[in-house]
Amino acid sequence: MLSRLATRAAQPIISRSVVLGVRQASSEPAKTPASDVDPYEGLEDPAAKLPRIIAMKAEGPERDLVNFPRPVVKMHPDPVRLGFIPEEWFDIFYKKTGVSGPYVFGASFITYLLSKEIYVLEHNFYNGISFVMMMMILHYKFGPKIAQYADKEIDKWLADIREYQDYEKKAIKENIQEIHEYLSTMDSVKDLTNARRETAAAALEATYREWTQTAYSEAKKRLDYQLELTNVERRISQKNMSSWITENVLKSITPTQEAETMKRCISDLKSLSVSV
Amino acid sequence: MGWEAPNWRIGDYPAQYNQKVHGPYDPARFYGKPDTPLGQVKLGELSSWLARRNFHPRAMVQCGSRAMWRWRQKYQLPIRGNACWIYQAMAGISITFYILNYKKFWDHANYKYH
Repeated sequence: MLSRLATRAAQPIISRSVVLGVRQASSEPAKTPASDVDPYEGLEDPAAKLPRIIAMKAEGPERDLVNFPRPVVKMHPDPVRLGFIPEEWFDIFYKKTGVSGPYVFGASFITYLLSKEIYVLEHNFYNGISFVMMMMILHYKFGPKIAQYADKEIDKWLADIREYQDYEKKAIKENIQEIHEYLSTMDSVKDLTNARRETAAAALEATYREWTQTAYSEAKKRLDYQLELTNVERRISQKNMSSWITENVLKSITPTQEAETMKRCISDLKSLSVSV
Repeated sequence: MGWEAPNWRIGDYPAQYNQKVHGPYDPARFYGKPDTPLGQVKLGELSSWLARRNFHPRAMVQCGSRAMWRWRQKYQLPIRGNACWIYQAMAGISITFYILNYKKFWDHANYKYH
C-alpha cells in the first residue's frame, strides 16, 4: 500500500490528459537518419535484371505467320453446357455415343463413385447442394440484368477504345502531314542557305580584291617614295656639284681674264651690231 | 524421360522462343518442337510418348502455366465473357480441395463393405 503511494507521489505534477494532448498536438517532423551511409548501397536493382524483350517496330522476313499467327483476343468465350462443362468434352463423346452419351456416362460415373463410396458424401456435399441452388437462383434471377449492364459497359468501353484509336490514327496522319510540310519548307531553307553561301562567297571575293588593291597601292606608294627619294638625292647632289663647280670656276677667274672676257664681249657685241 | 532446362533462369522466356520468328510472346503457346497431342496418342505409343516428355520441374511448371493461360484465353479473357469461368473455377477448386482433404472424409463413409 505504501509503495503504491510512493509511486503515485513520484508521478509528475502535470496531469496525464495534458501530456497526451501535448503529445497529440506536437508537430515535430520525423527525425532524419543520423548516418550518411546509404542503406541501399551494394544492393542491385532486381528490376534491372528482369527478362525483357522489347516489342519490335517492324517484322522481318523470317516471321512465321502461318504457324505462329498473331494472338487475338476472343470476342466470346468457348461454348459450355450446364453452365461450366466445355462443349468439346461432349464433342469427344458425340462421334462414339451420340447426343445422350456424355450425360449417360456422367450419370453412371457419378453413380459408380457414389455406390462404391469413392465419393464420400460428408457435410460439404449437402452444403454444396444448397450452394449450387443459391448460385442457380442468382444466375437465373440476376444473370440477365448483370449481362445487360455488363454489355452496356462493354459497348461503352469498346466505343471509347475505338474513339481513342481513331483519334490516335488521325493524330498520326496529321503528324505525317506536318512532317511533309516541314520537309517542303526545308527546300526553301536550302535555297536560302545557298543564297547565303553565295553572298558569303561574294563578300570574301570583295575582301580579297580590296586587300589586293590595298597591297598594290601600298607597294606603289613605297616604290614612289623610293623613286622620289632617289630623284631628290640626285637633284641635291647635282645642285651641290654644280654650285661647287661654279664656285671653283668663279674662284679660278682672275681679274685679267675678266677684263679680257669683257673686251671680247664688247667686240662680239660690236661685230653683232655691224652684222645687223 | 527428358530432363532439359527449358530456360536459363526462373521467370525467363522459353529458350526456343525467338521474337523474330514467333512474334509477340503468347504465354499459352508451346514454342518447342510440336509432338503428337495426348488425345491422339495410341495406347501402345504412350510409353514412348511419355519418354519424350521433359520432366524438368521448371518445364512441368511451364506446362501448367500454359494450360492456365489457355483456359484464361478461352473462358476468362474474352471481351463479352460470361460467368462460366467462375463456375469452372469453383468446380475445379472444389474438386482439388476434395482430393487434398480426401483422407479426412473417409471417416464419413456409411458402409464398411461395398
